[in-house]
Amino acid sequence: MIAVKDISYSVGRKQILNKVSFNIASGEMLAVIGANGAGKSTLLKLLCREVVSTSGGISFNEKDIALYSIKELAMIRSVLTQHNTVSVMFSVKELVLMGRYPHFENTPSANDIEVMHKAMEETGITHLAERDYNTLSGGEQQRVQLARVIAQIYDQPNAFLFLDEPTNGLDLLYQQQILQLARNMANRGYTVISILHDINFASRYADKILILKNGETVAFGEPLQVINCDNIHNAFNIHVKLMDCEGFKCPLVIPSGILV
Amino acid sequence: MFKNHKVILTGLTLGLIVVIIASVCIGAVHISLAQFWSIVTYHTGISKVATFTSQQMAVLLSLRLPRVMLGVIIGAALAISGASLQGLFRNPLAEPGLIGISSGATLAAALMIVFGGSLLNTMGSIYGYYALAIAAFTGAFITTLTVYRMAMHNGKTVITALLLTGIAINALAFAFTGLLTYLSTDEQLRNITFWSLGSLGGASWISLGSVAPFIAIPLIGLPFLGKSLNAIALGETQAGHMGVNVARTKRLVIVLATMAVGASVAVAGIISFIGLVIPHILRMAFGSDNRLVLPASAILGGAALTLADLISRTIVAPAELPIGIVTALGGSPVFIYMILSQLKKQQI
Repeated sequence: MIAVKDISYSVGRKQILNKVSFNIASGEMLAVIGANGAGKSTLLKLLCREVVSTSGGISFNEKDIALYSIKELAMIRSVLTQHNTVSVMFSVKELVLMGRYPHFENTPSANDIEVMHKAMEETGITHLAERDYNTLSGGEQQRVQLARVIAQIYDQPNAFLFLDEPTNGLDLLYQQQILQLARNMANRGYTVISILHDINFASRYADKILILKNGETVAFGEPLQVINCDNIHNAFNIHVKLMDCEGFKCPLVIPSGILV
Repeated sequence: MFKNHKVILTGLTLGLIVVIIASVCIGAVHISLAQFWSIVTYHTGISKVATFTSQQMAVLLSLRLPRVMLGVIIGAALAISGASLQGLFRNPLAEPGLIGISSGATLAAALMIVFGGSLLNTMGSIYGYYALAIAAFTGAFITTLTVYRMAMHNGKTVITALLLTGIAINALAFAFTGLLTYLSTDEQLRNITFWSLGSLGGASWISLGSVAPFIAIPLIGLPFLGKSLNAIALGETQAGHMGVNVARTKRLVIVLATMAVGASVAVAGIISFIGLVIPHILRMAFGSDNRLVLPASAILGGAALTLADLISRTIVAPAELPIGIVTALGGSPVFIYMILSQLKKQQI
């Protein structure tokens, strides 16, 4: 589980996050949504300990993240960032195996190899195993990267998976595949936090939604509680219509104009 | 693609041994394979029969062997530092010579020769070599830090900045080294010229012994960074998420690689292209896994430089070509090919 308590982060005089708090239990998936510049990426950086909060604290499994070593963190938490460019030629297999780097010194164990194969199977990239990463399409590359981060925590119970806009630039099929994979990870007991732009995807796949605006929490809770016209108006400065649709637990959000 | 690391490394080592034996046997004084074997067995006490002349033995032991060994360790040093710097800069064009590290080392060595001349004389030859190696290392280190600061922005190498900084530093170091030639005595001048051309001609057991420790440390240390450098290929942030201590890896690569380059420059001057071409050939053949590329670069680099030296001292015999000419002739076509293939991928 992840507990975030009153974290604030500022650069100079600019307050980027202001007293954000939430708790996420193991097996839950949290979607973070909000307009550009709302502080979503900063929140993820704080969770990854790339930057340190000005005040407030974050704990993983009731242990303050400042107390973990780099290596311990890498064993229980993996991150799919945006913009994954690989500078040299690596095969898909080699790249996925890199996810196991925190777990072996020089030679991967039989277990590491098995995890690599399972992660490739789950993400549907086994047929690409020998291909050069740089020759793949955007959607394939994203699935390879996801396989790598899944492999990193595959055999670690109570681990954490963070995704930064994992569906960016992908077509509808790939978007759903990626989110379904994230959902499956949550169902297996992982704590998943994903930044998303699409509100409808967020309410469909996530257990909890956090809406941010200018670094402050607009709403936090289950999709049915937080997805309403007021909150969306407030966070995105747009008019929306909500529409119930058969087969969806939460009403769909349809943008209907700019708020003036 | 064939990827059994042990088999590849063993194959390359066998190749290196063949090149070493060929190099100690071929030259103005010819030594046949049988005579070479006889010298080896006679000296190790296996055989009491000597089928070689004393001149052959003297040439082999006091001239060729130190020279060949020096070629091996310097080739290894240049190739492995090239490979590791390319990993750190996330670009295959980062080479000690191109980005100015070698000329930074040369300038520092030249300063040491001209202004520390009396100091060098009183220290005697082995300590003199140490002092030169340390001066060259300092020059290489400062240059690498400068280049790194100027070329890296937000964890990404700006390749134009990297190469332009290299041009600027090369020009600056060349100008200062040129200035120094006006302040130097004839003997110092000869030394400086030797540095800027590159040669293994100064090889002796003393020069070999004085640089060996400076090269042994990087040769042993750098291969352990292969995994971290692989992770850095995905990006510095990503490597951090994977548990790599990026700041520590960077420091180690810079210190170890510049130590190797500095030591090489101190005894053999600037030898270009080895650090660029050798890792590239290995990546083309066996992929980019640094756990293989780093140790394999050391072995193939050693073999390549020894071979280049063999060519440089036999092709126009009894005269000798500067080794830089041989490595440039072999290396620049590969370099041009690399630029073309990077242009195709729009990475420049």
